[in-house]
Amino acid sequence: MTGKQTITVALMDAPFEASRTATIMRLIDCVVDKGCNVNVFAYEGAVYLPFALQKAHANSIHGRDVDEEDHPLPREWIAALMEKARVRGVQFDWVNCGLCVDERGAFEAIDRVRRGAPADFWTMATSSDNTLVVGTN
Amino acid sequence: MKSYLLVETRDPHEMRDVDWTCDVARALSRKAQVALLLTENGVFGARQGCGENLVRKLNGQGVAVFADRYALAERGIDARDLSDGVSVVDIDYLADALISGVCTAWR
Repeated sequence: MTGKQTITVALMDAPFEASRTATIMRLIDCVVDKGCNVNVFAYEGAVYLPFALQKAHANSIHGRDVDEEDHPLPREWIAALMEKARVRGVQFDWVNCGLCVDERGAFEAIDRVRRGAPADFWTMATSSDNTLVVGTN
Repeated sequence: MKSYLLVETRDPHEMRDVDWTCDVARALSRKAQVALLLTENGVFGARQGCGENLVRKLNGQGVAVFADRYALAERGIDARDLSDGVSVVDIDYLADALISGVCTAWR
């Protein structure tokens, strides 16, 4: 199935805490592969997913340096998805909830992340073909 | 007919609320086409020896049950160890459902 449909996803989980982060990135990757536009509205802790200051670390317990550990960083996944979307010619719009950013001091986001408000989620959802809300447990 | 996809991410042995998801699936199936996708720890409920009753009840009311291949592999669960009535799918299944306009609820 291919097309130019637009899918909106709302996320709430902070990075490094839940399997949902990886699952949703897999889903978004697949949707982009199918040629669809993607909107993401990051709410609450999810505004830290594209946080630009995330750093990989070594694993001294297992004797691995930073390169060997190759610690996954959500900001890199998001940047890669944005780049894949650009190459494929589909839109990828990521909006961080501004109130959530302010609460958490999560001001340093990677390029192409927009600051917005819950009203942006409404706009995204009403202009999309489908919307998935991934809440916290 | 309206179509619904419920996505269950939680281990039924850890969260009794998974029963509620199944109740919703059964209730919706009276008037709609319904499928349940198990992913993340939700796939633990698809194993033989613990998931048969759940799967049988759902299948019996026309609810198709799917398990995420990636989540199964992460947890060392072989497809041969799943209850009858569970089909293994990739994340494409969820993507296609969204693209097709299926009303999808994440638990």
